[in-house]
Amino acid sequence: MELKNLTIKKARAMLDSKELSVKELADYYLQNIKDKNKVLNAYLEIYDDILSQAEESQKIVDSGNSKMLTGIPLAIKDNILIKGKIASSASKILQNYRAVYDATAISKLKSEGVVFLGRTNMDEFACGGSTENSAFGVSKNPYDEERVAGGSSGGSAVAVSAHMALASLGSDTGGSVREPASFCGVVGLKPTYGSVSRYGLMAMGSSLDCIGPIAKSVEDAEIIFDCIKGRDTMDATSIDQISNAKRQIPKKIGVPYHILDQGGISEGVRKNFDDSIKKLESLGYEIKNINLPNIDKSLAVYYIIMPAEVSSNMARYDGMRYGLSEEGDDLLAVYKNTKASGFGPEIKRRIILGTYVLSSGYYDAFYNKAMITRRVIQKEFEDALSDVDAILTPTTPFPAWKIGEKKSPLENYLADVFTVTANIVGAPAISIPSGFTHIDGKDLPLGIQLTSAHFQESVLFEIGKKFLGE
Amino acid sequence: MAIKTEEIKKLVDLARIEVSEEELLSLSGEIESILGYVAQVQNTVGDNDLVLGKNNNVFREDKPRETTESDGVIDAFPNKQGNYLKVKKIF
Repeated sequence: MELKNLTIKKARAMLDSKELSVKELADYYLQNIKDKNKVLNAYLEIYDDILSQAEESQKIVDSGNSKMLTGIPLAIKDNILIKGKIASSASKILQNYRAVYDATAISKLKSEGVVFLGRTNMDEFACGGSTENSAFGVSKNPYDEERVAGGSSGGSAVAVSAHMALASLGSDTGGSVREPASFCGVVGLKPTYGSVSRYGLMAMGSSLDCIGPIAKSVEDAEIIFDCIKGRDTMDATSIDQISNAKRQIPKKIGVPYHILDQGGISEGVRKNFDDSIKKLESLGYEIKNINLPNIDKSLAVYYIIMPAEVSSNMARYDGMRYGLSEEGDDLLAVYKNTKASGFGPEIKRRIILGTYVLSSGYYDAFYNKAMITRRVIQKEFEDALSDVDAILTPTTPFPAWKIGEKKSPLENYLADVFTVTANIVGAPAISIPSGFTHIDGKDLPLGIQLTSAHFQESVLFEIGKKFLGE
Repeated sequence: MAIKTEEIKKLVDLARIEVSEEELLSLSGEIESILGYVAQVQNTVGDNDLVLGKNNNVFREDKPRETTESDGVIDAFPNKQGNYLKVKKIF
């Protein structure tokens, strides 16, 4: 059997029938890592205890007590803590930081007997959409090595796309799971805000951050989500899934055509999107043109609220308790020197931007107005989703760009125009591979994004599976 | 809206970070263009009351529970004396 086409369910069946051992499965991915990681730079570290992890998982399989994820090899984004392992958030400031506890999502995966292959590259502290902001080099797109893999969970998306892991975990603050998933031709889920505990996820924008899976199929993403979700006493913002058993099978999909017609979308993306709509119609879905009058302000809201939260969250990396610490004449000099040499340019930019929008002279004009706009957009979303089951857009306005091509920060930010809304609203959203666009002799993957009402992940899974013929 | 480099310098100090003269110049241009873009939120028609929204408090029982092992935490101290975290004098 060609292991390339494995999904979690198929791997489960092969492991349980002893057609394949846990070690053989891990070895397949390790061989691919060995062959490809030097070029693609998906992993920052391959763990040295994979063999012993595999042996432990094999014991569970042999005892006949395997769970869905027992022995499944996963890659983990470098900002999610695994006890005893380095977690650096791809930053020099935490280059040698060793986690002293497990993130809740990790404990849940451990209790199923998952095999952790290594930690994956990302934009520093998840700030970026291309991994070009990693302190340890850019991750390359498996479909065209001259292009970015997307970000910030770029390494996690490359690992799955290039068969260097069966699935992975990323984090999504403004699209950081969905955008790289779409650039690399895989599935990426941003769950409902609060449905997965963030205990042990390094905070970036606390009112926006979510842990989410990247996988080869919608069903795989669902399996991982089902494992890691749920209320956790260590994260007061976490909440149990509200039962949606009574919900009917989704039929109606809303498309906010007015934002697509505003421009900024590449021809290839638009054509692929129109084709995807036809496919959904042929699958029996009713497509409805919907109006979300303030959705065009989502990106502006995001780039006010997010830096405000980043500037607050980054204050903890001050060289006192852990991580890099640079000498200085007095305490203030230690803080300043540590941050000056530990943080990359994008982190400094967002800290300053956040400090600006929160400062007393500009608070009302920026932060407060952004918070009001956020509520307005939330209300518009709620209203729209009372009539349709899901909202459809492209995941990104263009495919993966060439490494170094985007010069200004603002140019980079525009890639997030469709993804940030789900984080602002707190709703779940999924990126599903929808085909390719042909550029410079290469096929570059594209994705469509479905957003549903809070706790209605099941709607996304249902439509996504039908779309991919799962 | 033009952002003067002096204004950026002030923000840098408030945030307790440090940037070079060169970074200061490029930052003022970048921050200016980002603020120019995000300023569109000022056109939103909406009420201040909206911000209060539906937030609610989450409490937990005040009882002892397992905490992080202190060994790893102490190991991570950049500067220590015995089991104490050593910092520069504050006053």
